[in-house]
Amino acid sequence: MLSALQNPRHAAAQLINFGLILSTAFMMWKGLSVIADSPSPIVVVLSGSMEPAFQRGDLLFLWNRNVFEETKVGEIVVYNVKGKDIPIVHRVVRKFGTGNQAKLLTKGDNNVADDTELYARGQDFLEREDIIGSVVAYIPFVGYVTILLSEHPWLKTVALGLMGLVAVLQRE
Amino acid sequence: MAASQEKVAVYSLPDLKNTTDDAIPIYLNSLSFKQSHTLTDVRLFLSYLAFGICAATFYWDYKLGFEATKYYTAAAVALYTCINGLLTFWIWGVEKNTIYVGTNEAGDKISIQSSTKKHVPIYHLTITVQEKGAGGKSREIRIARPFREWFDKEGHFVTIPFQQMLASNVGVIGAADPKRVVDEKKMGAGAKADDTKSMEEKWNSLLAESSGATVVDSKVEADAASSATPGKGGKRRAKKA
Repeated sequence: MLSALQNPRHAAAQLINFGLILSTAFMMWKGLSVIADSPSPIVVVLSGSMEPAFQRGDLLFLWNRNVFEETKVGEIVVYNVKGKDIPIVHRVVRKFGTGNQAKLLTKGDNNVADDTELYARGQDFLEREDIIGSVVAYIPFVGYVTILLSEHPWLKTVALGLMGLVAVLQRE
Repeated sequence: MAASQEKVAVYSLPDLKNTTDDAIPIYLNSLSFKQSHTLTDVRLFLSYLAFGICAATFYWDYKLGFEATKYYTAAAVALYTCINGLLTFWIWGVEKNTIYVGTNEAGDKISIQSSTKKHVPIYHLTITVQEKGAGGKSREIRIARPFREWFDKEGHFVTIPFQQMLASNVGVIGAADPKRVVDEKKMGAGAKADDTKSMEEKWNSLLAESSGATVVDSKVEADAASSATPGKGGKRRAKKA
């Protein structure tokens, strides 16, 4: 098993096997990003603010191209607030104007008030460019793993380490 | 000398196959065959190229953000897909499980492919020999042998019967290593045709054939002679020798 690592070509091949697993996963993700035109085409719901539509841990697929029509009231969108790097999933409830300059207001279905409190200081509405995608499909619950991973960061290290070890050592 | 120090699990087919695959270059390179690494090197080059593209994409995406780089990212994804397709083609269409390519001093080219079927402990070899004088014509030799012929029951790789198997079946290897050539008919009695013979009998016939070549010290031989059944003696000798 370990003797395979003494041959430099074997060692290089074992190493790149692991590398290719990682890079293929990354490139698939990037391919999806490019197709959906969204920096993050798959997100996990972190809060219960959209219940009963989405629960914590649901996996959402986003689409960020306005091919046929503009983003409109009633759509569930994911947006980033300037200065904060956590995307938020909420529903568009007001829209003023058209095109990229349209002013959008969002609200969580399960929240009492709209999102003006959540926006950056001095920001009263969203613009189209703040939105990273509209929800087009979802899978319940499967994203819960990533919630676990982000709440217990050491799990990530352990999982990555195990994957690496297995890929380097096994030759089946 | 004859048996390896390392042990593998004899029921693990990948272990058996990998150990045997690794033994072939060691043996042939020791016989003045010159190994060509072109197939492996091309595969490694493509793999690392693909990984490099991915690393670059990751870096500029991380540095500059998605919006600024999305057209480059799209190009990189397309390129990565192409290189990966090429790599897949290379592994399945060109390499085809080739474990050794080499030429001997006379210029004869030998290439060896190995395979196993799932959960069947038989080693399939396809050996293509292209002799220099033969006007580019190549011969193909197919060998299928059970792994037990060169693994003892503990899982040690036993070199001599394995090398004999290669030298006796492949002309250019036999010519390079005449000591290991054994009469196929006699050796084949144990190895190929009748599986009715027990393992011990096969060992004995193999070891009897190779006694000229095997370095057997007298103590082990005495052990073998004194033991009641010839079978046990044969096995023990294989282990110790």
